[in-house]
This record gives sequence, structure tokens and C-alpha cells, in this order.
Amino acid sequence: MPGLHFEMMERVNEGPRVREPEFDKSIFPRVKELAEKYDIKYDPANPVPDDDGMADRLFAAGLEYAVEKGLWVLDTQKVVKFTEAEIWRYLDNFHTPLTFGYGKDQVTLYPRKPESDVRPLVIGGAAGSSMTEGEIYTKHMMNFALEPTNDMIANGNPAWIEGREIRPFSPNEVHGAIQEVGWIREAIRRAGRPGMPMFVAPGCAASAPPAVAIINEERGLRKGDFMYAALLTELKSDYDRLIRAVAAVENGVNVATLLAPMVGGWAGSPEGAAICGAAETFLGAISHSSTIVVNHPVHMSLKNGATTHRTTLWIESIVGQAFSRNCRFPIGQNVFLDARAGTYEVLWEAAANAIVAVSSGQHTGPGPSGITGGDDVDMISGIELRMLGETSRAVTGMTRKKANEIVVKCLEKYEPTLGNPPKGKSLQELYDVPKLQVKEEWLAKFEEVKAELKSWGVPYRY
Amino acid sequence: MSEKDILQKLYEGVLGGVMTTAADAAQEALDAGITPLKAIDEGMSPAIKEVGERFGKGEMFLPEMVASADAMEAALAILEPHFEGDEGESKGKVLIATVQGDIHDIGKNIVVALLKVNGFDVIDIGRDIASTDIVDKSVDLGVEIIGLSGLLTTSLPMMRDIIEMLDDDGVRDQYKVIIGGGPTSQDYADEIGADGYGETAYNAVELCSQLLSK
Repeated sequence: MPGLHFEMMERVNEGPRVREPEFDKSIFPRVKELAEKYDIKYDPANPVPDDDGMADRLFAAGLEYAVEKGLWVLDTQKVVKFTEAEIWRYLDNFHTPLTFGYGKDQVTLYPRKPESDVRPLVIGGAAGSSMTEGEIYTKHMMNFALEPTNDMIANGNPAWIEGREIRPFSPNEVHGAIQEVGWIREAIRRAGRPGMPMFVAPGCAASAPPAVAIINEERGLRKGDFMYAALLTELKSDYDRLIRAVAAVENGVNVATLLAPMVGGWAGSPEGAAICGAAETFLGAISHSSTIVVNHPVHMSLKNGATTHRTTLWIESIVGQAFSRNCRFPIGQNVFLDARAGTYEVLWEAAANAIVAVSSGQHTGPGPSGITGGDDVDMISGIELRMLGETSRAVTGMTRKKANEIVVKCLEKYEPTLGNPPKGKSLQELYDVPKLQVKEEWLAKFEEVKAELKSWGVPYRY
Repeated sequence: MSEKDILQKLYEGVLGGVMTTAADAAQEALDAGITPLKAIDEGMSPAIKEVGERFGKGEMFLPEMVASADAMEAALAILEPHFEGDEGESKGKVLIATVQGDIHDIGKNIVVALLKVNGFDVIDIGRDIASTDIVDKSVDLGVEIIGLSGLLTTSLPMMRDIIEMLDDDGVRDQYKVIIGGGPTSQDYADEIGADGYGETAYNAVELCSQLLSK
């Protein structure tokens, strides 16, 4: 579906210069007014709200703000504006269902609504999580590809390339991104899913050139795979993101636009961040000619970028409900977890995120992931994805009321340590890595958490 | 207006982030013979403390804190010409940047606002800044602390580069270098020889105070 990227090229140079502090500081007072006008209210007791009216009002508030505020572009310091008609022309002509991948590994994305019994896609991987390069990286990816609930594979972040640090704008970064996607291709082949669609935010692409370099039918991203192009928080983009989007779209690669409205940041309250999130969904869809927008609300207090804060679960839910009720454009839910592999907390977080996404009309993932770096490497495993995927399947069709009850119970389990979670373990500690067999201790924790979720009403079939 | 009312107005101007109120109150304080030191100690400082506490509890957000910092600066600009001795002296000069290749700057912006409201002279040179520019500007501006921020894993080598550059230039001991952001940790700070790591924005402020008191 063509968006407005040709128009974007022109509009990034139009209009008066707007200084960034002026753009930033005007957000909070306006979203406060809009929250009042549209009666948008955060209720901590209901991270999964059951209020169709509020979801529809959030959609209207986000549309009004998207049209009014526009998208600020870092390189030119201009604001790109879109009309309401342009936004509707994009959303209304968006074709779903959409099929991705090749051969027997193809999957189809169907439009969903809150409480829908239409199966969501699960996008499993760990973009943002630091991994040892080479064979270990490939094993991580195989681990994700071997999870039967995983419909599309997402990448992880190699910690080094050829034993060297990865530096932005360096030749090593381009080499790293090419290697990284090559390892994912190898992993899905070795896992017996060579046609599995890929959903990639290359860890070795802090700059645009490596992202462009991985579009390669033979060894990299194929037509119909996905590449990330994130908006900047709040309501901003830059040439770097637009270059990724244009390169992807014109080579037949789908664009997934990530947005990260922040509670406590320029948007202020959860309500303000929800309105920014809704506005950014419109702007991200049209400006990047996106196939999907991936919502990743964050709370200022969580350094790891986790999406599992009570306020951000609410934003995920209400933004997901707003869009799934009012248009066919698909929304994904980035799943970033605060805790690490090997802990009970990481499993409760994964379950909560899956339940919120699916009951609110969204698709699950990409995830589960978490920002790690430095010496904090390989702290992710396939078991968190198993929890995310199996829970997503089990709660498909669940009412928001029931979903809310269970999510609140999950929060009681992990909220006390959120922001300071117990130290986890690495893949090498939790698995027999050559065989990719999970060790008993970690599997037992998974089964224990799953049994408790089942006792609360999550209808797992196995 | 009584002295108490003027100090209350100053307090409210800073707490509410209203530049004109804070500046007017600062002028009224001078006109009423209130010393700049008293205006700061009894008007602005309690407001700043309150801002910090509310922000910590999640009752106040970044834009409100930035507005309070702006209001405080507006009031200080009025008071400054009337300082005597070391009245109103900043707690220290901090240069802060998000390193090259990283455009995520909200964490850095929060630290900037918190440092400002806590009385530091902060030079924010922005996001995606080349290591050479960070070093050169730190030298040119004679700062005491260099704060480096990044969210991406690829930010980490840039932090190491900057410390090595300071070493190579023979000026490492003239600066305290602190790091923060998603992938950073105390272990990484130790590994690259940074002087400190701030896990939260608050830690960064405490760290700057500690480093400059040594």
C-alpha cells in the first residue's frame, strides 16, 4: 500500500523552522486538554479497560492531534503535516488479510478486534537483547524458530562482530548487519522453516546504511519480510528513519513502524502518552508507508524499556482497542520484559503482555525482549517466547473483563520487583545449547507459572 | 506585599514552572530588600526540593520539571547581578550528550532538567554527537563533569572512545566522566574507567554532587 513517502520528501522541507524545545514543550499542555475534551482516563485497577466508548474517543483524539501537530523532522526542523483525508485514504484502502513468508511457512494476518477469536500473529524474537555472535546467535534464533507458536521471527542484537565492537556509521556495522540477517536465514533453514517471514530491527544498524544493506533476496531480507523504522519519541522522525522506510518500501520489504510514547516524558501522564501513541500510530502509518505499527509504550522509571509497567499495559490496551475497533490497520505490541531468563518474574511479565495484546485486538510481538548490553549477554531464552506464544493462543477470544482480572494477578506477582528484578541466567546456563534442550529447572518454573495461570482461567489446551 | 508573600510567590513560580511569576517575584524580592541568598534559600530551594520529590513519586512529569528549571533560570537571571561573594554559585559545570549513533535523548533530557533544578550549570550539546566533538567542547568550555548517555548497545564503544581520547590528550584527570542509559552498568563503567554510573536520573545528580565534593 503506497503511503505518502514521495510527499514526505517534499514536505520535510516546507514551512517554517520549529525549534525542538518549542515542539516538545507544547505537547503536554495540549494532550492534557485533549484528555479532558475526549474524557480519556487511566484507571490503575483496569490495565485492560472494558470501555468501547473510551477506545473510540481515543481514536478521535489521536486523529485530531495527528492532524494538528504533525511530525517534526530532526534534519530540517520542519513539521510535516497530513490532512485527515490523507490519513483516511491510507487507512481505508489498506488491504487485510495479508500473507507473509514463503511456501509451507507462510502465515496470514487477519484483522482483529477486541475479544476477537481471530488468531493473532505471534512475532517471536529478541530485538534489543544482546547475544554472542556466530553459532550462539544462530542457536538463539533456532530456539525462537522452533517454537511452534512463533509465526514470524524477530532478530536479536549481536554483542560483537568478528570479535570487534560494533560502531555506528562504521564499515563494521554494515558487515555486522549483513552477518546478523545471514545467521537468521541460516537458523530458520536449520529449524526446518526456511520460508518463515522475518521481522528485523538489525542490532547492527544504529545508522541507516546497514539497514539498507540487508535488503538482499539471496542472503538478507526478502520481499515481504519486515524492517523496522521507528518514530522518535514524541511525534518525530528524521532522515535516517525515512531512508530505511523508502529503501524497504521500494524493494518490496514491509515497514514496521515502532513508536514509544513515554509516561513521564514529554506527554506526561498515561492519558497524554496514550493520545501521543494514537497520534503517532496515524503518523507512523502514513509517513513510512507502513504495513504494521508496533506500539512500545515505556515508563520513564524503567531503564530497560520494559512494556510491562501497569501504565504502559493500559496504553497498549487502549491504543490497540482504539485502532482495532475503528480501522483495519494492524497494530503489533512490542514485548520488552524487565526481568531476565530463568526467573519467575519474566514469565509473569510475558503472560501479562500477551493477554493485554490479544484481548485488545492486537497481534503479539515482536518479543519477548529487553535492552541488555555490556556484559549482560545471552540473557534470553525460548521459554519466555513459549509463554508469550502459548498464552496468546490460549486467550484468543477472551473477554477484556476476564483478561483484566488475570493481568492484575500477574502484576501482583512481578510488580514488587519491577525496575529492580532478580538477576536471571543466560541461555548457556538454562539450556544444553548444542542440542537446544531446556534444562529441567527452567522448564519446571515455566510449567509452574502456566499451571497457576490455568487455575486463574487461561484455557491452555496443552 | 510582605516578605513572606514575595518568597511564597517565588516558590509558587518555580514549582508551577511559570517564568514570568518567578522572574517578577525575584525582582520584587530585590525591591523589598530581600537578599538574593535569602530568596534562593527560602523561596526557590524549597520549590526545587518539592519538584524533585514530586518527580520521584511520579506526580510530576518531564515537561513540568523542565518548566520549573526554566522558571528557576529566569529568577536567577534577575538575582545574579546582585550576588555577593559566592552566593548563587553553581554546584559545578556539566557537559552532557547522547553519544554518536544514538538519537534517543529523553533520558538525557531528564538528567539535564534534574541537574539544572539542583543548581548545576549544564551544557546540553544534544544527541548523536561525535566523540571528538564531546571531548573538544568539554576542553573548550572547561567543564568539570562529562555525562554520556545512550540507549543502544552500540553506544557503549563510543563511551570507551571518549575516555581513551581524554587519556591520549593527557587531560583525563581534569574531568569526571559519568555514564548512563539502557545498556550501561556499573560493571561497564568500571571496565572503561568511567568515574561513575547513574542507574537513574536521580543517581546522576547524586553522583555529580559526590564527585565534585571530593
